[in-house]
Amino acid sequence: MPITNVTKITGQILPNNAKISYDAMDMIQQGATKYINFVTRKAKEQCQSEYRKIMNAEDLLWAMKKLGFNDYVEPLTAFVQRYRNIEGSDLFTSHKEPIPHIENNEPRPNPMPTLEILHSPVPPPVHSSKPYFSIDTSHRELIPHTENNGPSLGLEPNHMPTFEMTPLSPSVHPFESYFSIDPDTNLEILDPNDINEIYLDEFGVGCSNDAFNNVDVSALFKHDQP
Amino acid sequence: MDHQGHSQNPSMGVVGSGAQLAYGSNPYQPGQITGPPGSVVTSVGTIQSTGQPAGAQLGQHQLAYQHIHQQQQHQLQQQLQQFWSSQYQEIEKVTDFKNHSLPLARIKKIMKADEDVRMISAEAPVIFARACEMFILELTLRSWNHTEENKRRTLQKNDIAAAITRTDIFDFLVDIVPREDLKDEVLASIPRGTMPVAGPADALPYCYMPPQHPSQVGAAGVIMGKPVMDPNMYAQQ
Repeated sequence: MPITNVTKITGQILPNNAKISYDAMDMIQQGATKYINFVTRKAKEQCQSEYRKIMNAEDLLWAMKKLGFNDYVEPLTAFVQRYRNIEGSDLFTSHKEPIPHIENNEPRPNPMPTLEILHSPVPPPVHSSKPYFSIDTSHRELIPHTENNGPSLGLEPNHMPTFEMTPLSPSVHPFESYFSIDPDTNLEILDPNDINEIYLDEFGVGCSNDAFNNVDVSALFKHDQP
Repeated sequence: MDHQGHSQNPSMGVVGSGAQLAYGSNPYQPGQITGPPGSVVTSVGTIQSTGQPAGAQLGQHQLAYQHIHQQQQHQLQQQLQQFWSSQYQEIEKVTDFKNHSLPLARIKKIMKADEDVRMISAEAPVIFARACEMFILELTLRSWNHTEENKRRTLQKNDIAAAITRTDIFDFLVDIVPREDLKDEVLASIPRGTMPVAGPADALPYCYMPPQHPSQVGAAGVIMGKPVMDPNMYAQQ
């Protein structure tokens, strides 16, 4: 038992002008230790008689009464009751600890908006990419038409050089002009009926040299206008 | 405090007369042990010289001493009652059980010094802290009572020894009381025991008076050495 604690306690009951020798303080200190051993030994008998392994407050109070410290029992009984009441309030305080966990749940909604943000940027690039694919398809369709010109030229081997030179130049210009003007116009040109008509006109004009030169130009314009 | 001061003053004076009485009884005791005839002859001489006044003085001393002792015991009982009453009231006001006057870990170690004590509830050291505080306060109060009896302001070992000897519930503390203090306490208790035996003691010396006349003078010399007896002897002579 620390001597400082014993000194403070003795100071509570002695007059201000009182003094206490070191030997006396030492004796009181030893007495307190022996008191604990004395009461503990008696309390142990109570525990063993009831086959209990844990020594509690009741055992100590019982021992004090048996050993003649009757004056101590009543104040200490009140002391134990107050101690347990306050200890109960401590348990209530422990219940408050789960509250922080509830606060931790609040951050959880935050990930949800993040997921929404992830979804939002996805649609725009998908939509923007579609028009490019459609344009590429239109370019591929033009190629088959040029292939169709092959067999028609093969039918007239004698006039081949003249036909080959003339129709290529005017045919190319109109296509380019149409592309530059409107995409819808390209669709009209792509119609197989229109293309066939152009080729037939060319065959008819081939009958006379003079008429061919003049008629070719006018005929082309006429078909284009309507 | 004022009342206590007033009560102390008369008790101081009375204690003085009580001391005289104690010293008066002392020569009887050592006389019986060492040179009873000598001391007896001396006392007989004083009685013969003053007769009734001497007897009256002795009676008064005895009564005064008993009265003082009873008064002190009564005062102690009152102080103890106030102490326990205040303890109960203080406990009703206790709200903080975390600041103890004594360390719980130390108390737990002392409890576990007994090998059979293995498991202790959390309450036990807390209760013991309060109980030990009461024990220390009661022991200090009873010891201080003895200090005041001897007109001292410093509480000493013999005061604690006296408190332990006088209180039944403190018997388990006899081990820590030095033998010297025990002897002092025993000797202190003898004079009170010899008071009622004063009569027969007076009767005995008559038988021993004639044969040991020479040694009586030596014993008287020893008695003369005591300072308290000097004024009495001179006054009587």
